[in-house]
Amino acid sequence: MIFTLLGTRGSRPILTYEQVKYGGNTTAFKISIDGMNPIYVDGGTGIFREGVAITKANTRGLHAHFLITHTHWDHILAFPFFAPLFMPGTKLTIMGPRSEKYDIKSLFEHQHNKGLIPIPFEIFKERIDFKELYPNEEFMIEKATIKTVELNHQGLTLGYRIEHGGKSICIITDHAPIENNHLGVLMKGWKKDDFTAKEKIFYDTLVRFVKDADLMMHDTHFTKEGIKGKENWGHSSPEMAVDLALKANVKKVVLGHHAPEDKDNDVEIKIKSARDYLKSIGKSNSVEVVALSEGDEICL
Amino acid sequence: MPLDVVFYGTRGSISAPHEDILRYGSLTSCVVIKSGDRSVVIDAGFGIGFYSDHLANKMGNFHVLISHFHWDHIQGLNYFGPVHHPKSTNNFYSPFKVEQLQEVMDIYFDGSYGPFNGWEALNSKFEFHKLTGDIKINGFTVSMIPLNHTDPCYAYKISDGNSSVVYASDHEAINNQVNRDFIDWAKGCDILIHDAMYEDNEYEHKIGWGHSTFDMACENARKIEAKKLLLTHHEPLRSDKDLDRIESELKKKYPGLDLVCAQQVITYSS
Repeated sequence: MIFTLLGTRGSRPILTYEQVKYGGNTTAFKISIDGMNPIYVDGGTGIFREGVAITKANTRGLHAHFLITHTHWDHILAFPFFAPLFMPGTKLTIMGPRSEKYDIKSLFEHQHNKGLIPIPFEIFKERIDFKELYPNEEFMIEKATIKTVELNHQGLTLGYRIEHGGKSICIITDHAPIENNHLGVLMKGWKKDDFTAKEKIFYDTLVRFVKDADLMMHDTHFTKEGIKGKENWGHSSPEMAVDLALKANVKKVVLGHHAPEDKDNDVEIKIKSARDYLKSIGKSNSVEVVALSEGDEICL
Repeated sequence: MPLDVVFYGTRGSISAPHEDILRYGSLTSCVVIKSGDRSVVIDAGFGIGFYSDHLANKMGNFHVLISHFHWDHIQGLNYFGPVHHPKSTNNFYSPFKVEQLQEVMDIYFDGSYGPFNGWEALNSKFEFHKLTGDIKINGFTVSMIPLNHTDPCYAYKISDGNSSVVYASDHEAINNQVNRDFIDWAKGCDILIHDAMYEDNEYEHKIGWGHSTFDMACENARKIEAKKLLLTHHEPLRSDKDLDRIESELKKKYPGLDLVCAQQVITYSS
């Protein structure tokens, strides 16, 4: 199983001279498994160059699955410009959560039907199958097992676990601390008296979900200091990623969803902060913490 | 006082950041026209977020002209700092019905697509203006004319009495009445900002997509007798190296034209 980082910027694309190392495209990851069509997680601007590369290399259309964490713009905005969708023979299955108001297909269709993009959605219709996903599902994509979990972010956001051949990759983005900070639409029904119990169930479920993962990509939009007062923005710090990894015996953590204002140096500060934290509690050898550049692969 | 033009978004269609496009930039459309400390912004692609990164003060009265509602010209709205500042007023102008812009804002700021509760819940104040003719905005005279695009789209002329800047993106400059009227209207401007998305061989496959070739833009600049031509709406993957090459070829081909392919954050003055 190979994990490829195609884009890991949060919120909006950007690129200045001080951001070249970690890149400026918004969220997109690829998971490649021998003998299988690719699985992508999210469709931020990171899939644009990937799409162009695919159409240059292939004459037949792409067959692929997309797992969408949630439908915020930075995670889906590149689909109308994803080159394989303009090729006959392409077949994409786009799977992900609905929003409070709309099903996932309508959320994609809206971009085309309201005059926002001069490409009729009709072109894409026969090339895309949509499937709505909810937390706590388990299903197969070809030879891989896929599991879902609820994350703490505005709307309904899913974390994914992809398993194959005894290896596992988890994608945990976008996600915020849960303590007194209930952002998800499914949390609206929580009653005040149950908050502590509900928070514990939520977090324990998440720990079980990422248990023993070989690789966990985790939202680290903020630093430990930067998140203070912004917990309700829906994002995490490196220390949160490390805590989760330690509790669940995760082997490797990939930091991501970097803030658009983060320079390369800021990302390196986050890596150091995570490693220093591990060192301070005597766990340096328990978890490996890295950040990747666009195009970097991790082979499991 | 000269008019200054600064691009914060130079790309068309989509932003695809990469180290080979650092100088010309990767962000979608946004241009700022300045005279001293007065300014108007044109279009709100991802460049408008980058523009507000450069603003020392995100509080005040801002004036944003929208050419049309294609995604690459509005997708940066949420990242324009002043829309979140309680003491800012954001004035949006277009020749379209106010309700049309509001409908776009309704979709954009729907909670489905971001941590939003609708644009009306944002901290700043919004004023929407429908343009019906020449108007004074922040001390500039602004006028507009339709362009040749896949959906209705307008060019803007910004004048301060001495100098004028014409912004014409997105526009397919074929020999039709729309383009002839545009040329007459833009005649003699000091700076012409013009769509130049394609090379000739690319355009062959993209006729009717609503964008110009480099040559179409240069021919228009010549007919308009523009003193300076700034080429923009770069194709998303066109590298710095390629834009350098194209610019130097065009300079040889059109020796009478003062032209450049627009780079981000550089100030071009009338």
